[in-house]
Amino acid sequence: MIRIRAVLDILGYGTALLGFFPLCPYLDPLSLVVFPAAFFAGIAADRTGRRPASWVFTGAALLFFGYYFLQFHRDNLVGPAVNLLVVFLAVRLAGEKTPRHYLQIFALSLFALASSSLFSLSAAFLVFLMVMLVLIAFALVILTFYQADASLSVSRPGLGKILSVAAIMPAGAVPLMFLFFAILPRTQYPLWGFLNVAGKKEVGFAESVRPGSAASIGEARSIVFRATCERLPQNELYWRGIVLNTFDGSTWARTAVPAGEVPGAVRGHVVRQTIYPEPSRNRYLFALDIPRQVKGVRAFLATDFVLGLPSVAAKRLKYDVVSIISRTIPVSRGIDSAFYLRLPPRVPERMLVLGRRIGERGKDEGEKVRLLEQFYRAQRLDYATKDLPVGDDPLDEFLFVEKRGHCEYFASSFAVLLRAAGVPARLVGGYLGGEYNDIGGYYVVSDDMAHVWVEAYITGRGWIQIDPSSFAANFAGRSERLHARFMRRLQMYADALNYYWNLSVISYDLDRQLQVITAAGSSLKGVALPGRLRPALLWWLVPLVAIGLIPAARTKRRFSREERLVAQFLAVARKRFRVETTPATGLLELAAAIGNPAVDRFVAMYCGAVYRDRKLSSDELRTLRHLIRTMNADRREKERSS
Amino acid sequence: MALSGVLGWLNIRGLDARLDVPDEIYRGLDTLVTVRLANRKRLPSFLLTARVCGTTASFHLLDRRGGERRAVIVRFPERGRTHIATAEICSPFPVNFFVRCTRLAIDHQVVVFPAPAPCPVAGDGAHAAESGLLSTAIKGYEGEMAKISDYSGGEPLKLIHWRLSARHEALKVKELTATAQEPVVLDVEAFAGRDIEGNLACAAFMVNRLIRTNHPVGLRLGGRLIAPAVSRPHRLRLLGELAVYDQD
Repeated sequence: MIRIRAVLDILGYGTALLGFFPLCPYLDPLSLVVFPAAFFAGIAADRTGRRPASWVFTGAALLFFGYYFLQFHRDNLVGPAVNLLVVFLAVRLAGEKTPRHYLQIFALSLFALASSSLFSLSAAFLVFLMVMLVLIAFALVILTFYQADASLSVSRPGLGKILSVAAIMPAGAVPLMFLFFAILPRTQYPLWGFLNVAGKKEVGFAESVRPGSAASIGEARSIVFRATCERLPQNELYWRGIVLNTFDGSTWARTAVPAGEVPGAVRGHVVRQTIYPEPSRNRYLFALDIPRQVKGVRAFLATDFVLGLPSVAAKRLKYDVVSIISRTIPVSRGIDSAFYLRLPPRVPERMLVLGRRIGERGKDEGEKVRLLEQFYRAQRLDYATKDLPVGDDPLDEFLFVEKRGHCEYFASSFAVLLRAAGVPARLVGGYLGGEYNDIGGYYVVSDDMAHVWVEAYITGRGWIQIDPSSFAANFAGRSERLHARFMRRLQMYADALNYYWNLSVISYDLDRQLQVITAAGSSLKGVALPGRLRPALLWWLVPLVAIGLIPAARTKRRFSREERLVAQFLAVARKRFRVETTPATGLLELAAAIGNPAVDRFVAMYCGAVYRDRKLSSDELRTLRHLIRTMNADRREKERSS
Repeated sequence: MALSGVLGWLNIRGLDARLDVPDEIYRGLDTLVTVRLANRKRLPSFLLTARVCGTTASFHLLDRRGGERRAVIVRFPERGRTHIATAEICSPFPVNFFVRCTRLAIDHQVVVFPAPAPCPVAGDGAHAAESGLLSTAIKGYEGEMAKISDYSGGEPLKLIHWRLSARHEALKVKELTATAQEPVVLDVEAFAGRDIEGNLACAAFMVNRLIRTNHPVGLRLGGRLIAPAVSRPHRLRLLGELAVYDQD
């Protein structure tokens, strides 16, 4: 025998864990400690039956409430609220558990899980939600038994029966869920994370480049976008985002592209990509260098091949891009050289001298670029993300003192030196590389792949892509990550799940729904059979359908009209007069036993026709049906009055 | 929520209720009644309470196409015919947000006998005279001598009081009071000094007491006479007559 109370406890603790786990990454250390402690204390107390008095728990809850209440702030509403939820749940788990308390545990767990969707809309949420709904459905049913009899024990098969009937609720809710999924409005962003972006320090891609602003950069690995396309060598995966064409001495930024710059025809390998960016407040779209065409989103393509949105996207995006893999952007009518040679008033002396010396030594732009590359290689610079040069002249420090930095240092200093040497130059911001997911067939590009490189203008050829970071002595291993093979595989599966979740759930909208319907319609129209097959198919189809329909018709006809009528009559008579009938009971015998005028009339009329081998006339049929209805009404009246 | 409503609705559908009531029920006394619930549908039913005759019986699990029985103690407040029309079946299943109820027809007819109230019985000797319960119609053959009367021709010869007859012109016979084994006919309306309910209670007591000690008991009630007998069916018949006295 199994105690109902034990089942209820297991379900309660399970539900609480399901509420806690998805929130873990967003909780304070305090609640991260309090919850597990209370969880195990609760289990111990349930086993021993000894626990502190209830005022201890009330007091603790009040203390935690006070602590988190003080942290509430206009900019920080959700953080304290979710921590408070988790702490309340912890207090409830540790304390005495009456039926009301169990309900509180279920509600708090559900709220905790729901609140995790403020931070992240991953596919895992669906899994957690499904499991939790099933557990809560079971738990509510078991709680009902517990309320009926707290000391109740059930046998194992009995428990199985209870749970299998309880499982009808979540199972039946699934079709309803799909219905509501189709009709209810939804958000495409984790609400809190999205609204809160402005308050946090951005990592990864930025709309400006400012080397020397931080001594180290984080290794954030959050996903920026996924791109389905053919598999390419890693060194061809330059995802172009923004072109920064103005340097003010500390920051590279984007200003309007000078008019009159007309790109020429690009030649190279054509790659088509479909890109699914994660929601962000970024106004620039990414695509493999060099994007030539974009579809599926209202975006403009600038003359320097920057894809921009008119405003921050209000929903999850998906767009198709056609790119040409090439290191050169031909320019048909030349460029505004003065604009791309502009230097800030204050450039470190050593850099200015170096740039001018290269400018004097190189005969043309191509040679100047080569000379500068030689200088970079000779300097034996290190690619690094920690202990970076900071201070008033971070670029000078990077080149001549520390000799270590990341792509921003390499690209910024290279572009400044090019400009000083008289070669028009600009910075390109985007991403380099990508992790290919063979399960989903797409590249995952994450924040830590953010990259900046340089484009130099060489007369006669156009803009040439140069990646100064590749001149670093240790650059080759930068984008390689060491993961255990198994973990990598697991991560790929998880990410593929997320990808399909985004594809089919989060970015599901009316457009997609209409697409599905249109596609279904057109594919039906498109069903074309070879001309000769059509009559043959028809000849086969008609008999097949007919054979399929025969059993249905036979079931319907198995009972005659009269037989159905008598069955109805007997059913009503059994209920109305509480008589037992068997197949052997004769109608006349029954009428005699009951002694009711309506029954007598029915039997007389029925037997008058059927027992004389005559079918009932439609008038008789109507009268008989009326008699049955009257008896039935009588029965209901009698039941009501009693 | 909607689905739990449907499950709750289904849970109390397809049920049949029956009562097993003993054939001897006395007014105001605890009686063991068995409530039988049967489940006709394909789903099991859970957490049912059947409310019948003012008491409830709980059924935690009723298998599909199965049945269960529970004994409950019932007290019937009134004597006479009682009709138990319905049982109210309620259940908080599946979630205890609402309790759904339905009424199942039982249509059970019971006859509640008057509660037996002890009173002296003829043959108890000491109390026989003062109680005056037995009518003069009750004559015995083996008890104490009650009086002497004239021989009417029907008395057994052994009752003739020969010595007294010798002193008189006529034959005198002894009239003896009845003893245990003598047939007793109770004339409830003639019982003295009580209201009718008290008399019925007393009669019920005497019927039980006398028949248990093997006295044939008959009943004179409402102008009818039921001949004395000692069987159990006869006892129940007498009690039934007492139960429905003045009710038709």
